[in-house]
Amino acid sequence: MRARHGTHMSSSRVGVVGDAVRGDASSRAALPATSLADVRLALAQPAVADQVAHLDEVLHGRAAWTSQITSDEIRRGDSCWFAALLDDQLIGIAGGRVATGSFPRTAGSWKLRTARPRVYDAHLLLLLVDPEWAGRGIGRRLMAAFAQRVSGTVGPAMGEFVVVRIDVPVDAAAARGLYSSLGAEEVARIPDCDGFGRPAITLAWSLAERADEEYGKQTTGSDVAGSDVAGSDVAGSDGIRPTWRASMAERLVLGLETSCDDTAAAVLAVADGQTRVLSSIVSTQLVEHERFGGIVPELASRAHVRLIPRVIDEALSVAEASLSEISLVAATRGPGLSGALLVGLSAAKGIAFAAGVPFVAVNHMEGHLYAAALQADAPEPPMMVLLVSGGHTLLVDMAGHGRYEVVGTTVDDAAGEAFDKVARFLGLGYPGGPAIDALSAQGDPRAFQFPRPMRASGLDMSFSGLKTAVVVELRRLNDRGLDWSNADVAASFQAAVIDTLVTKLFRAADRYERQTVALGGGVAANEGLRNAVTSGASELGLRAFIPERRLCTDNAAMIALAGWRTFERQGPSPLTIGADPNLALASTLDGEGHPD
Amino acid sequence: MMLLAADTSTTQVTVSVGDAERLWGGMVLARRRHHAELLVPALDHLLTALDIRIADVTGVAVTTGPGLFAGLRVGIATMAGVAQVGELPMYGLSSLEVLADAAPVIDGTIAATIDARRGELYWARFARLDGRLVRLSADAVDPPATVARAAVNDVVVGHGVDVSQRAETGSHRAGRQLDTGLTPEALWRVSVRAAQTSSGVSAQEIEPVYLRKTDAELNWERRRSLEPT
Repeated sequence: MRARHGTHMSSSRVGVVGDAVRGDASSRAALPATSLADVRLALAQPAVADQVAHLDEVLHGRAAWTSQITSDEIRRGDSCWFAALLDDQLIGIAGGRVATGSFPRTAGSWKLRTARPRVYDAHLLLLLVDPEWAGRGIGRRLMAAFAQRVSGTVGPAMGEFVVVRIDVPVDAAAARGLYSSLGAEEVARIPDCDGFGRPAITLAWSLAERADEEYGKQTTGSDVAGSDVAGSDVAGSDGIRPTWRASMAERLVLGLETSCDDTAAAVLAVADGQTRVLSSIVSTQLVEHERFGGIVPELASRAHVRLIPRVIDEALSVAEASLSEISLVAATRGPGLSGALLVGLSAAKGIAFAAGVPFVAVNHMEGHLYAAALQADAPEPPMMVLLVSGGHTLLVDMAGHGRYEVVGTTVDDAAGEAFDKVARFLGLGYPGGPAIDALSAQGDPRAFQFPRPMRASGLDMSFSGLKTAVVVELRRLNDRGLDWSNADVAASFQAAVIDTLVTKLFRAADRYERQTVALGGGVAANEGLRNAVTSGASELGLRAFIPERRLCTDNAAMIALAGWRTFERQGPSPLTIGADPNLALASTLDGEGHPD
Repeated sequence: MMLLAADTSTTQVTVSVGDAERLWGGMVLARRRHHAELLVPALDHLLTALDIRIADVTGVAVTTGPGLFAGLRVGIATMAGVAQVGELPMYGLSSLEVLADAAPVIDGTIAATIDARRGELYWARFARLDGRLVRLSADAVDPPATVARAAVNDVVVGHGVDVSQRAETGSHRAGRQLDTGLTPEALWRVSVRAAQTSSGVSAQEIEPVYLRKTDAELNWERRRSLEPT
């Protein structure tokens, strides 16, 4: 083999794909003690070139892929390389080039997607797996990573279309058979694939077209990389076998949320329109703000910037994912505290830029709308959503993804604010919602007849008068020297709030003819409200969706989901987008252009 | 070595990329208070134009302060994100050192200043000796009069900071004042020095240097000090 310091490498000398792995039964029997779960896939760095050359030599008795050639190839702008690593030891490598267009290297170039061809021609140049690890799905995982990277982050759902080519030596029959069984078709013959006169066949297939059906069916077949010699009898030899279907269709979304005093990151898996929360980490800053009796914006921002890399790491670690596997990064851009929002937004852009994946900016309130959709049995719009938190009380008609209309809101205090104020008056501490909810369970909700302002008609609400009524009533009792039960006050107050909220929610559902209702926001964690919505909905024959408690309060899983939905609808956000502390939910209503 | 560096400590955004031998490229974007909007597009454009892959970058440098709090956090959060993806080392730089390095002084002493608002300046003194930049004082925050007294023989550099006026002394000689900002060349030089003299920190370890507590903390401490014990 001529050692070429090639900036150009002809496809004719790299046809080692098919016979890359010589895993035989004996080597497979002596499996390494380390677990397959320890093997991680990462974008290959030029530094692995030495190990690639060594592996090539071990497998083929000659290093066609010299260290120099390999590192040059990895450095190319139009190449894509994945390494399977066990600690720092290379146990597999796959890489190739895109012949048409280029890889979406940065989120910025990504913006040019509309202008680039919809058909990609990718050439898989090399696939090697350490013989000790053959037959364990590593080659398949490497190929899946390569294919996924090639198809960018849009994939079949967005009509992307990728043709992957591989040159397989004619005499590597088993490999050819396997690729064919995966749907590959012969498209060309090459007289000399390795500079030694070894003829090869070029196989090609479209990932987008076959991702859903073919690969799903074929995955019971053998492992691509381990099949060259042993044929396809290695099926099922490893427990972990990500299928083509899963690898092609499943995408990971990283969500970041730093709009107030919680630093949150989450990893969401999306496949076939189904979503699954792989991790959701929330680091609260209660301690930082406690002594000041409220949230100090500058302190919150300082805590966010200190915590965000660790929270991201934690989310990835729980999800058993790495940043190189993320397909989309979503972050809250508003509403919220300006300085706090900037931290999550900046971190998200930095990650998207460096990972070469798209970035999408999310409206925090839209995130809360999607909290109910994070569970397995997710509701689909149209639906009427009640968003209740310390800062918001909104009735949102969700006609479809990205199509929202605020049909009712509070004219004064938010419902959560009323909870906090009454709790403070009763000496129950902060935050007041959970305290009142707990105390209510021991009280009589009919002990006091507190007013329900604006309950009789319309969809707007008012809670300021209710809070005042509680204060006035207790002062009156106190003045007369009468005693009362705090539990009764809490239960009666909560009953009044819930009565108002539930009445408005069902009235709105009726008026807009929605069969589905959902809750969101911190107050949705309130037991009384959850029960009232559930029982009310069942009486009316409506379907009610209530998020898990931990997903009611601020979290990044809902941001990841809202981000994914936004991305599906309108693609990535421009990297020039900034934070908007006063972002209104209405500004994302059109479902057309970007929130800008 | 290929270092990607960013500065957002003042009202401008400065980015540079270069190896140990030379600055490959850099740019300054001076649109006030738009750090979050400008930084990543600037980095993206820089690498795309120079055809440098993100995988080629071996380290990430960022000015950690002193300077605009919100700006510092945008720079640090963004660059920490970049570093996390590639598991790259991060180098925290002093914005005042970069500013001093950018000063057109061949031989002599330099006082670098950045507006700290509230009538104060972030500042530090440096000397250029045989082409080398040597630090003479730690980064600090003080009223302009303090800076003017200390920098009486220095060339004072910094954007839009008029030490002589603020000092209101009239007699000091800190009149040799240059209205200059941080430059990509200086950012690159200081980042290379940092990478050559330290192993860097991880994205989890890098933090802004504020030099000033928050108002809430200051008020709280003041209140507590007034309370009878």
